[in-house]
Amino acid sequence: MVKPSRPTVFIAIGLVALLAAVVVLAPRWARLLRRPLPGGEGGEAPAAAADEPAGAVERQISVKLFFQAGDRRGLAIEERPVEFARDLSRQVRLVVEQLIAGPRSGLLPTLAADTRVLEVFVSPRGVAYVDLSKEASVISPGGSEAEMMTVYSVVNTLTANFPAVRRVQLLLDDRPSPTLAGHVDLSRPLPSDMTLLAGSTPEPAPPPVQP
Amino acid sequence: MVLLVDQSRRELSPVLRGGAELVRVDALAQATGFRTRVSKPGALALSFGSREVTLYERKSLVSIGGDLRLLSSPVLVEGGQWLVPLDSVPRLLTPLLGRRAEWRPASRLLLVGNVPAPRVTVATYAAGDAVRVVLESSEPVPFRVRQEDRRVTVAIPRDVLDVAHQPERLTGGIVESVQFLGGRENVFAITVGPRFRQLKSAEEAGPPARLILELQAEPMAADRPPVAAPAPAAAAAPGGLRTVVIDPGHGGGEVGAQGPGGTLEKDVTLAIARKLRSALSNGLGLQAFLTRDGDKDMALDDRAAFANNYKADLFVSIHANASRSAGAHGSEVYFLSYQAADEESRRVAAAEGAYVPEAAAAPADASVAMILWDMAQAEHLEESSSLASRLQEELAVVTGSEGRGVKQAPFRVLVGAAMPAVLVEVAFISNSGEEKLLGSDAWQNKVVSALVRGVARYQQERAGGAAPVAASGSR
Repeated sequence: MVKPSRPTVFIAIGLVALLAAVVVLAPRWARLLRRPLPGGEGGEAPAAAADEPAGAVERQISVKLFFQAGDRRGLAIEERPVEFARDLSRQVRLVVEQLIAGPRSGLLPTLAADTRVLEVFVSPRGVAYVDLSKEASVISPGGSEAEMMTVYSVVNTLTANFPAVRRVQLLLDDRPSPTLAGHVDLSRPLPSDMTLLAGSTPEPAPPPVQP
Repeated sequence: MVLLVDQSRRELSPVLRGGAELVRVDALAQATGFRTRVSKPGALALSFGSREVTLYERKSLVSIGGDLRLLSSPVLVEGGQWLVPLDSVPRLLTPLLGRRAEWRPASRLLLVGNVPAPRVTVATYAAGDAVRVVLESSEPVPFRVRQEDRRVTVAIPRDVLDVAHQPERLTGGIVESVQFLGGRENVFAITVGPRFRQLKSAEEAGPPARLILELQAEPMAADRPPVAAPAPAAAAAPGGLRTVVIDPGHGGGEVGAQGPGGTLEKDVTLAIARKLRSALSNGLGLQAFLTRDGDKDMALDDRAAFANNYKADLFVSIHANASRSAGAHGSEVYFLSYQAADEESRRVAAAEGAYVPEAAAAPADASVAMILWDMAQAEHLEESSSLASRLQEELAVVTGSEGRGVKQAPFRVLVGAAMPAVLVEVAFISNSGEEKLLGSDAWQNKVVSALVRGVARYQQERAGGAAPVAASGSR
């Protein structure tokens, strides 16, 4: 019987050691690989999420968008198909862009049409940070009600459509802002307020003017 | 500003960019021993042992242990140097180093780890023929009192002292001012006036350690007891109401809403607030103050702080509403929504804010101060709710908006108010009919009378009496 040569012995020992290392370390690698990266798949937050692969057949999801009711006080819902995105942050961005694009049925817009979505991140704790350009702070005609409608059209839309979003914090021009235009506190994430949904009865006519 | 890491002291020079103070990351790294590397273009990873924090160029969001946190302003890179907002440094260093980090803006100290920095506060009480100046320190410190010609100085010879004191001016001729002069000996100077005659001092070992200085005018009559506590102000009216702070919404460049006929919200709110001030003092004998008595800008947090400083018993912010829906009309009275003050919300804020101290800790770190500020209104929500109800019931009679109840919203101006606080939306300036009413002197008077009746009913309720029902019928 031929005795194994020294190099063969070393190779064998090396292989055994490698095998042992794989067995011992595999759980750690697996953990490293599984560790969630902020901002979603593959990307590292807050880098913008990669665009969806080109050429794929466009899938759509149906989304409830909250706009201001025209004839009643409060918010009303318009359903609309929105392009599907696998990445949650990107999906949220697409939905906010639909809010900015405005209503198609007789509802009133809540965000200035030239507002841009600068970034969106969803934290693992369920806070969606939505960074809007400063045009979002132009609330026409001003007033707390108009501002409430703007803030909660975003907050209610995102919390109603995405179970992973529990609260929403709006940022202006990539920084925290105390309010959009002087009323609603934006210093921390807001939960939805469904009491702002408009009732089914139209606004009664104002009383006669008698100064 | 000074960075203190345990016992070692280091000067840092922040730079000002866009209203935010920023400090260099490499200086923080040298002082505290964390490492930095550019993990990819535009991202800087800070690591300390197994902990890691990643900064992103021109972003306010940072990644900490797989989660996101918000800084007060974006991270900048200038000439290869990474800069982070000074007030947010504790948000980075606490989770990165696993040690307590704190920014104390009043004394401009950034503390990391176990730094013994006694916190010194100064309070001044004037009562009759004496003024008391009380210096209080969280830890025992030496107080050295010296009486000079026109002033009394107190030196506290300690390396690190956290002093929270705004210069104060007093009337009455005994003490003219109390100032912190600083220097290596941390000197406080009390400038005395012409009526000053003698100084008495006493020390309490504490904790907290106290130095009590009593500066007396002409010797007092023998039978008069020495000044004990700050004298209470005028006897409280029924219901414990003395002082109301009225906040005319908006002002200055911030005009608020604008009506279709050009009426500006800031003008209407000021006119109504001024009338309300005189009606409350003439009608109910209350002291009433305006947060702004003129057309000027005022930050939202300063308005609630103004009410807190005046130790107001009520805070009433006056606004005119506006809606994209032209038909919207009527008055509404708001108090802060529970969601903005509830436990869950606080928990989220705390979790997102990295470091939450035990209850006893001083509110020194900006994020901690924010949490306490946020809780100011929480304990007054019930009273705020009943004040809002009384005001709305009375207003509804004038504005014809019965049935439109009291509402809740997370309005920033109410968040920091440490007393019952409401925001009154008198009417819709965006509605052309109500815009005319808002500008009318007679109608403003009706609104003011309604608000005064609401305050009076709230006052009676607090005094334990049954509140009379809302005035009914047309007025």
